[in-house]
Amino acid sequence: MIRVAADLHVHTCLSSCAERAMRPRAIVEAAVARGLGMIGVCDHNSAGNVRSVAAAAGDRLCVIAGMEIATREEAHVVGLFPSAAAAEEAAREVAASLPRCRVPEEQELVDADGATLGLEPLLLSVASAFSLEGTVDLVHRHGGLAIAAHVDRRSFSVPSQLGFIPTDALFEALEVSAHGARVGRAAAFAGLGFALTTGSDAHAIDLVGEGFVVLDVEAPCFRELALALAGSDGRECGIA
Amino acid sequence: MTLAQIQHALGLGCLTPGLDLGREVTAAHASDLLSDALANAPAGGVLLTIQVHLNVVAVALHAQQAAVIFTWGMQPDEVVVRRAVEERLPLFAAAASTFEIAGELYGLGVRGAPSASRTGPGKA
Repeated sequence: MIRVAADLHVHTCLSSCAERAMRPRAIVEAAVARGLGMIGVCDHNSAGNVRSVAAAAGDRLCVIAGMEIATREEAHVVGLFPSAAAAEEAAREVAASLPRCRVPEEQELVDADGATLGLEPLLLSVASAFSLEGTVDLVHRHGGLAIAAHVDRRSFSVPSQLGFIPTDALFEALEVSAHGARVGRAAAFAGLGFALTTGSDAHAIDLVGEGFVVLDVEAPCFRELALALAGSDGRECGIA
Repeated sequence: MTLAQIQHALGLGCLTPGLDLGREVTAAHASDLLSDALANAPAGGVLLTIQVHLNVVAVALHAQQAAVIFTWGMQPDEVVVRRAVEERLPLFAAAASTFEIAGELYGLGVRGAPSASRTGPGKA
């Protein structure tokens, strides 16, 4: 077994609310410098920059293809997928359900070097048409792991939107915000039958790796991450 | 004013036929944040929301709501209706927006919780 530090929730410049500096090489350099062995690239309702970050990372860092999906209840769910193709397929379904809204700020699709390839025309930071259950099902249909995002936050979280976490929800984990984990809020979500994670939710380079989990796994890869969240075969996932 | 009188006055569809609509209602709350409804909806009132998630039923029961009105044409799944019937929580459907329904209820003398009583998310 090896020990891998993983920040499973990082945005890029495809999210309009993120710093423009959140480009592939800068994200990878920051992650490596902070000792991370794995990151999850999770832009709002899109996986459009996942391949570019993975290309920039090469074999220096495991890049998990992700997407932060906004359910119709406006609860955020992080989907982590076994491949960029799987994330992109799921993202196509999400995109087809997005309302047509004016895009006030740039949502940049970039290559590994950070050059702008195009601008996403659909406003991504809005609710999709998928219900919470439908979102979890979407993630699972594409072989992914569904994680309720920043459950300790007062906005865009399952508890803020739905009053509490449905006990029959099929999440692989609940994510506590980096701040919440630091001030001991994770304990409030233990004992609900879900694994717990934390992540930076970084929208700025300085924040990459601000929150991370420690994985005890055979290798830094999606399959091992899935085992760690399930607590299977001796793999483990802990909040640092 | 009873739930039956409100249903009639506002022309609401009843999603849970057979439940008693004789309960008197004097208060209401309009919110799509169920954490807010949980914290602030006045007991014995009616909850107006466009949320149709199953948690609406659980939150309404916990907040001791007399009924829920789904506004803006939102229709809950059958599982939501079934749970509400089991729990004897009347559900209504309105084609009009939350604002319109709230206005009509206000005109009938129904009032919201006083602002000083507010707790929970976003409260400074």
